[in-house]
Amino acid sequence: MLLLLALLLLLAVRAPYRLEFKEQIGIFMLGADRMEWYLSNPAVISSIAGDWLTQFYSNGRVGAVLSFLLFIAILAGLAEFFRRAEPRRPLCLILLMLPVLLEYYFIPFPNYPVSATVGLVLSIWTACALARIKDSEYSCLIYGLSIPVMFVLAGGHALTLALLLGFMQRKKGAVPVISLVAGLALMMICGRFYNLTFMQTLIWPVCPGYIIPATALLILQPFLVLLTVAVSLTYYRFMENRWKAVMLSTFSALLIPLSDTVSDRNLESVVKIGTLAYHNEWDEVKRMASSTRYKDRNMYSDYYWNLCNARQGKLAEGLLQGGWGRSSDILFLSTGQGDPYFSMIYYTDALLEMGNVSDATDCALLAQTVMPGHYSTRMLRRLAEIAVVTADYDVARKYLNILMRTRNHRKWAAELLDCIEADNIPEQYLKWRAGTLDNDRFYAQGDIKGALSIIASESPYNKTAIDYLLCSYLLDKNINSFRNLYDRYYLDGLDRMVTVPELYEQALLTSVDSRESLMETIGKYHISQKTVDSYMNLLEARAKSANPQTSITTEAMGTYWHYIMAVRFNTSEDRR
Amino acid sequence: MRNRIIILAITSLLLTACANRVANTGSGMFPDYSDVTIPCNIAPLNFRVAGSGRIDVTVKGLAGEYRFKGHKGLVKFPVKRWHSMLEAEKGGILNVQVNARGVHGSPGLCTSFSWTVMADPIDRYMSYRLIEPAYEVWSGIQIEQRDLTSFSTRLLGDNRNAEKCCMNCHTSNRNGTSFMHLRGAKGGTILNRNGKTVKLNTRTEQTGNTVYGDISADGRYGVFTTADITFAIHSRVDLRMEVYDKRSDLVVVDFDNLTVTDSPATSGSEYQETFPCFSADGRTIFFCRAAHHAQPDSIAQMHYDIAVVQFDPETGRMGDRVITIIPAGDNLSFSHLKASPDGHWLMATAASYGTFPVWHKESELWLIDLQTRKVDILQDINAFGADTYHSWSSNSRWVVFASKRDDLVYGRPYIAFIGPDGTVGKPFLLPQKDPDKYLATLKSFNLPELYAVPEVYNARETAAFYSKVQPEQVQYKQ
Repeated sequence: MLLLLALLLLLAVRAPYRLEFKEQIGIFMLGADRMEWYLSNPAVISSIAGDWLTQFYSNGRVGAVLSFLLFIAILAGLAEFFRRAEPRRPLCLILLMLPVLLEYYFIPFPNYPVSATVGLVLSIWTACALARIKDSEYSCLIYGLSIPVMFVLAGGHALTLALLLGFMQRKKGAVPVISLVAGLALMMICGRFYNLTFMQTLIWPVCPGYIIPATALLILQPFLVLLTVAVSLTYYRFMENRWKAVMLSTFSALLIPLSDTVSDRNLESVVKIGTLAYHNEWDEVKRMASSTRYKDRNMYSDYYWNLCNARQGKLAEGLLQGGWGRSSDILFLSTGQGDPYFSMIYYTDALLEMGNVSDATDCALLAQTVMPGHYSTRMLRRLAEIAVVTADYDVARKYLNILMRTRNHRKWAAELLDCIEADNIPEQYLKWRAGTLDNDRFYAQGDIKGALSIIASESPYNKTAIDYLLCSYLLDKNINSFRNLYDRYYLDGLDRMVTVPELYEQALLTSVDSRESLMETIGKYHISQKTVDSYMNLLEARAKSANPQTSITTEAMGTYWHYIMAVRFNTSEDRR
Repeated sequence: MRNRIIILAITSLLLTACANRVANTGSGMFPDYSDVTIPCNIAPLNFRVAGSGRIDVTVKGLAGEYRFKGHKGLVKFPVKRWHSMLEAEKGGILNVQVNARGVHGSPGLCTSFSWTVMADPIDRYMSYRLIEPAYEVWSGIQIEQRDLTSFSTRLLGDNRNAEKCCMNCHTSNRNGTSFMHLRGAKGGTILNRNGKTVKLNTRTEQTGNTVYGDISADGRYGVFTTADITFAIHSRVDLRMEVYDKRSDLVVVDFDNLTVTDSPATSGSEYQETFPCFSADGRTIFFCRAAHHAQPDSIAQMHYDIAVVQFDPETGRMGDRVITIIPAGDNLSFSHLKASPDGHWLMATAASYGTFPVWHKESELWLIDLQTRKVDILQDINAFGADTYHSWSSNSRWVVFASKRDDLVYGRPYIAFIGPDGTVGKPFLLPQKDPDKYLATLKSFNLPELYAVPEVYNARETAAFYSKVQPEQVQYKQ
C-alpha cells in the first residue's frame, strides 16, 4: 500500500505539468460530427472515455489522481485475472505484468494519450470476464474473436488481451494458440480496413511518428522484458516466499522506469514554463527562468527569460544575464520539421510580442497540425486570439465555437465571443493588432530576421521587434548589422531621451579599431562615462596582462566585451 | 446504496463534462440553402437552425407536398424520401417553408425560400483533398471520394500511412482515367486507366516533375505543368502566403507509349506557362502564360494571360504557335483553366496577380464563351473570400469549386449550375449528413473534382503504391 501511495505522490509531485499538458494538446467535444471521427478509427470506446477523462487533466494534480486510479484499475484487474487464471510459476506472472510496466513508463509522457491507458484497463478487465468461460467448449472461438473486437473498442492494447488469454489457455494444446493467432491476424486485417499500417495497428491510439517515435516503443519493450526478468530471477532465487518475491520484483521493475520518466526534471521544467506562460503567469515564468538558469537550463528557459524581459521592454538589459547562445537558440525557436513540438507551441508567444503576426499564425497552424488528433485546445485558443488580432472575426468565431463545445474553455470562449459581438476587443489584442503591418513585403518562411527587418522598417516604433533584431545580431556577433540597425532606429529614429541599454553601448565600442575612431564613436553615440571607463580599464588590463583571455574573464565578466571576445560556439549545445 | 452513489456521481460527472451547448453560428440556417439551384440527384440538403429545437419543414412542389421534421435544431431529410421527392419534382421549383421553434430564449426562425430542381444530374462522384490550411505542412492529408447522391465517402489516399508524403490533386477525365501525384522519396504519379492502376515517374532528364494537369477526353494524353514551385510569406497578415513558380513549362505525356514531349512554344525562360487543359475535342490546349519576372519581389507583376496552342492527337505533339485569347492586363491574372466537356465554355480563376489564388481573397471564377470569347464574371456565383479550383460535371451543367467565403480561411466545396445559355444558379454548399462537420473541422476541402466513374483504388492501395511499387519510367520523346 505504501508503495502504491509512493507512486501516486511521485506522479502528483514530479509530473503534474506533463499530465496537465495532455489536456492542452488534445480536445474532447461531443456531437455527431466528432462521433463520426471516433467511429472512423479503432479504439472507439477507449478514445471517447480517454479524451473525456483528459479534460480533467487541466489540473495536473487531478490528472495525477486519475492516472493513478487508472493504474489501480489495471493492477486490480490483473490481480483478479491471476486469481482466476491461477498461475503456477512466478516468472509467468512477472511476464504478464509487462503491460503494466510499459504503461507506467509511458503515463508521464505529455503526449501519451489517456485513451491508451483506458484501452489497457478495458483489455485486462475483458480478460477477467472471459476467464469465466475458460472451460467452455466455445472458449477458443470466443477468445479468438474477442481480439479484433477489442481492437475496435480499445485499440492496440488488444495485444494485452491476446497475451492474457494465451496465458490462460497455455495448457490446452494447439487449438487455443491457433485461435489466438487467427484473432491477431483478424486484428491486423481490421487495421487495414482503418487504413493503418502494421505498426499503427499495434500501438493505436498512440500515433507513431508524430510525437513518440515508433522505434522508441519497439526498443523499450525488449529492454523492459530483460530488466524485469533479471530483477525477478534475483529475488526468486534469494527469497523463500516466492509470492513475496514476485511482488517485490514487480515493484522493483516499476521503480526503474519511474526514475527515468516520472522524475524527468528537465521535461517537467520545459512543460512547466510553457504552461505558466499559457496561464499568463509571467512573474512566475520569469522567476522560474531565472532560477533554472544554472541547474536545469534548457533553451526554453532561456527563451522565456528573454521573452519576459522583452515584455518589460528590457530585452537588452537582461540578455547576458540569461543563457548565452546563438539567437536561434535563445531568442527565437526553430519550428522546422523534426523540431520539438514544444517549440511550435511556445514560439507564438514571442512572435506575437514582436508584432510578427504572420509567423505567429503559421506557427499556431503548424502546432495544431502536428498534434496526433489535429486538435489542440491551447492552439485553438491561440488561433482564436490571432484571428481577433487580425480582425478576422468569422474564423475567430469558428475556433471559439469549437472551444464552446469543451468543458474547460467554454467560459473563455464565451467571453471572447461577447467581446467580438460588442466590439470591445481586449487591450492586449489591440496592442498586438497595432503591430501588424499595412504594407506588404515578402520573406522566406522561417527567416525571422528577414521578417523583423521588414517590421522594423515598416513600423519603426515597434521597439520590441527592433530590440529583438538588435539583440539577435549581438548574440550572433554580427556587429556591422547591429551598428547599421542601431544607427537607423536608435541614433536617427529615436529621440535622444531614450535610455540606451548599456549592452548596446558596450557593443558599439567593440566596433571601433583605433583610438581616433574610439573617440569619434564615444562622441557620436553619447556613450556614458561609466561604460567608457569600464572599457578603458579593460583595454588597460588586457595590455598589461600576460594572458589577455584571463583578464577578459576577470575584468569584463557579464559584459558584451566578455561575450564577444571570450565566448566561442561550436555547436548549439556548446554554450557558456 | 453504495452502487447508487457511484452511479449518481458518474452521471453528474458525465453531465458536467458533456454538456454540449449548441454552437452559436449566428442566426438563420447553416448552410444557407435558400433559393439555390440543385441537381435532381443530389444528397439531402440537411441544415441546422442555431438556437432552435423542433423544426417543421414543408416543401411544396408541382407533384405534391412533403413534410419533414427536425429535432434539436437539425433537419436531416430521410435519403429515400428526399430522392423520391426530387425525382417527382425534377425540373420544377420547390417552395420550402421552415418553422423552427426557438429554445433558451432564442426567437427561432420562420422563413420560406425556393429550391430549383434541375433535370440535369450532377456527376455521381466528387473527390477532394482534406488538408489543414497551414502554410507549408502536410500532416494528415486525405483524399476522399464522396458519393454525391448520398453521404458515403471512401478514402482514396491518406498520407498517415504513406510516410506523410504530400498528396496532390486527384484529377479525372470523368471517363475512367485519373491521376494523382504523390510526392516524397517514393513518390510518383498514380495513373488509373480503365481499372488498371500504375505508378509513373514522369520526370526525365529533359523535363521536370509534373504538377497541375488535365487528361484528354479519350484518356490517352495528359498535359501538365512542370514547375519549380516555392513560396514566401507576406508581411501583411491578411495575405498570408504566396506560392509561385520560379520557372514553369508545359509537357504532354502519352499514357499509351509512356513518353513525354515538350515544345519550344511552351518552354523556355521568357514566359512561364501553367494550368494547361485540353479542349473538349482534344485538339487545343488552353493554358495560362505570363512574361517572366524575378520573384517574389516582382510577383505583383506576374499577370497570366489565357493562351492556346494546337495539339495533334495523332502525333501527340503541341504546335509551334501560341495565341493569347484573353489578355490579363495589369490587374488580373488567370489560373486553374478548365474547359467544359461540351466544348462551349472555359472557366478560369481570376486574381489580381500570381498563380496561386487560394490565399487571394479577391479570387473569382470567370466563365468564357469559347465561341464568342465573351467573358462572364459570374457575379451570382462569386463571393469575397477566394473562389478557386473548379471542376465541371461531365454534362457541363454543374461546376464544383472550393470557396473560403464563409470564414476566409477554410475552403468548402460549393456547387453551382451553369445553363446551356450561360445562366447560373445560386451555388450551394456540398450537403453533409450533419452540417456541423464544416463548423468543427479544422480541415480545408481542397481541390474538388467531379467525375462519373468511381475510382477503383483506395487509400490502402495508394499507400502500397507509394511504398512498395517501383514507378514505371516515362521516356522523353524529341
